[in-house]
Amino acid sequence: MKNKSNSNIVLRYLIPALLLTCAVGFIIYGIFDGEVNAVLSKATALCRECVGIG
Amino acid sequence: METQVKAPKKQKTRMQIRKSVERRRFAIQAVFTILTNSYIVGFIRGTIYQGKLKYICVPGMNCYSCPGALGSCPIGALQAVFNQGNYTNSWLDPKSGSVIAQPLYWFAFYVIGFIMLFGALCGRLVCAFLCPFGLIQDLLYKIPLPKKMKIKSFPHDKPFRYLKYVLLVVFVIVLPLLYESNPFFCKYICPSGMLIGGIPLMTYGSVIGNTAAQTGTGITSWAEAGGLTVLKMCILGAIIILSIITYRPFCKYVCPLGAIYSFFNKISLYRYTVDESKCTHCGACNHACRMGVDITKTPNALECIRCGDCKAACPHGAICSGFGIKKKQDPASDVNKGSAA
Repeated sequence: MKNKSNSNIVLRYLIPALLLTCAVGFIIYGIFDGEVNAVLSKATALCRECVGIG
Repeated sequence: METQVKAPKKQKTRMQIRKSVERRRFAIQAVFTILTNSYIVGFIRGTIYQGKLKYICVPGMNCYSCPGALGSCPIGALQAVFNQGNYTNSWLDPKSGSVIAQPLYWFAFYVIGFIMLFGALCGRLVCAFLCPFGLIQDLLYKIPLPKKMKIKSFPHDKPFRYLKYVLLVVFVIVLPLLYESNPFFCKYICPSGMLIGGIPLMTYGSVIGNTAAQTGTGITSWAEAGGLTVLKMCILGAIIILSIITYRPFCKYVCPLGAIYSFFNKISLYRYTVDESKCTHCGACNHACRMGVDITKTPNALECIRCGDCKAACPHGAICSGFGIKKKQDPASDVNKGSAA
């Protein structure tokens, strides 16, 4: 019973912790891979498709 | 006799709790929307923010072409990354005469990293508290209509709830990967860009005149409107009308960001739990939920936006939520304790 609750607690925190670590890793990788520039260049120029003028 | 006097008082207290929970949520939504759209110069000059804060993705649907937007929309950013072509691996199409390039990025690590960060922390809590378009829909649902015309959720709408997953795969991932420089979801569907970007910028250009158009950061006027504008205005109009009738139709059926966050609901740090020892299955939570979720069966359902309505409605304080580090006490349970005493 105790083992089961311990494993639940581990899963309860382990999965989000792993995801958060992956998320930070992905962001850092994206910065060095140049994806960040694709985001910035799109976001700082008016997106004509987004505002409905094509 | 004594119980007859006490009963209505208890009811009023519960209503007060629900209203205060809702007011608190509206305050958070409003503050977050103002904070992330506080580039006032954009509204004055009819242009958009071009600073480095746009490196950062905001958690909710917030078009980066809104004059006030300080951050990037994750769905727009996702398509922008998938839209990048790899010209070292390109060829000329003999039929059209255009250059066809393979996608430069097959996976958007940077943007998905941001989405995972918000998702792993709180799942669809973002939809209820941190999404500007969610706030707009909440306000529209507050417009009074005869009771018969207000529908919490369309009956038998479950198959339509899967539409957002189809739109996510087709319009946000597959088509932008196949066709370069074409953000399909933003272009053909997203009403957020039209509402908070297109309408203010085109109106500004028509009324005041817009020199920012020359620098590519503004629009000259409504004269630029065409067939696409009509299509997007129709979608926006439909969403507005439906939002007055039913609760958050865009979140339920269309939003690809909500679709992504929904997968995090069961595994995020912030979760809902139902205390079976306290729950009497009275159905108060089910009745209060406007997303059509039965929290007693699935406390972290894909459709749950974690607005807290069920928690406030529970007369037994059986629903808890939090990050798990410190168990948050439900305000409703205080009332019960008070009434029990």
